[in-house]
Amino acid sequence: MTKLECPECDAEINVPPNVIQGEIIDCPECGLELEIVKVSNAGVEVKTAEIEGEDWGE
Amino acid sequence: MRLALLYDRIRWDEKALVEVAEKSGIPIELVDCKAEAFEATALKKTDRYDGAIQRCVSFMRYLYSTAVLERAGVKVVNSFQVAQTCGNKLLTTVALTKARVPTPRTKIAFTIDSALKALEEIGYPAILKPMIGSWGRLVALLKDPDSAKAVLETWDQMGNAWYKVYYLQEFVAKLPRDIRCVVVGDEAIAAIYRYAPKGEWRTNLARGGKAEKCELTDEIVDLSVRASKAVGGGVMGVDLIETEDGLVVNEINHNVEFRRTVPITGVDIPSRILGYVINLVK
Repeated sequence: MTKLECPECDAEINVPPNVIQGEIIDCPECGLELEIVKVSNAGVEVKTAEIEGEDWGE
Repeated sequence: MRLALLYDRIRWDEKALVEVAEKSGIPIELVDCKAEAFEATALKKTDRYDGAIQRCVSFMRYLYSTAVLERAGVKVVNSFQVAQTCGNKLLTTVALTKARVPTPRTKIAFTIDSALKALEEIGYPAILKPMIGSWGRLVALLKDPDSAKAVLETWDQMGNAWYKVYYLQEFVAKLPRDIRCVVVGDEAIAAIYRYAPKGEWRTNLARGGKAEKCELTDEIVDLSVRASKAVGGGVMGVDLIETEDGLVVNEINHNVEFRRTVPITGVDIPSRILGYVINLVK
């Protein structure tokens, strides 16, 4: 399982094996949302996910 | 056939759609609308994909990427017309009224004074909603003229032109719950009750409400399908309210979330959506 370090609180984040590009994962410690930007054999790349916009919804 | 899934955030719902497409052997390209710039002046039909499932959480991204892709010959579900109507509560009210689908009495006002006059006619408690917006954001229950004035004045100070349009609606719910019915094409396929969480009157699941299965009655099916048709048809989440005089249609969602509805009802909503899109594109 790929492991990441939370950019906000340094906690260890376990990345589920079947994640896909665009998926959001949460830091189990601080709750920061991270977006998976790339999945490759080398692992995953993430960036901090966008915060809710005023036009978000159903 | 090549399909695209247009997204800005992959949640359980979007992942479920990708998984059913892969299982069905339909190639589906994930298009991140945050990363893409869309060619708005193309005259030729695009050959990248034939159809697209539009799932952007941002209404602006949903609406305008759809407008451009439709121009490029891509069948997008839902269409620009549907999203424009459903994403705007006033246009939804107008469409439902035109189609004679029962909906709560609503007035639109453009100044604080005229809004207060409208509220006297509607009666308290009444509801103030932003014309654009979702998940119950800023939806306010106005209990009397003093609290109404306070909320209206706060909106007036927000600076955004959208908040200078006051969408005012009678409060008709007789129970602290509503019904969410998922409509795909001509068919109502699943429904749940959504209960307002403790200390809250809004029933949006995004606000922490709980959900339970709702049987699809003739009345729910009839109203939901008529409501969906009234706004142009496609894949919809129709919200109904139980009132003293029967059901009314409150809102229609063009980007329906189904993460909670699938396990509660046992209906394979992602497969139904994919099947609908494939038939439309064929």
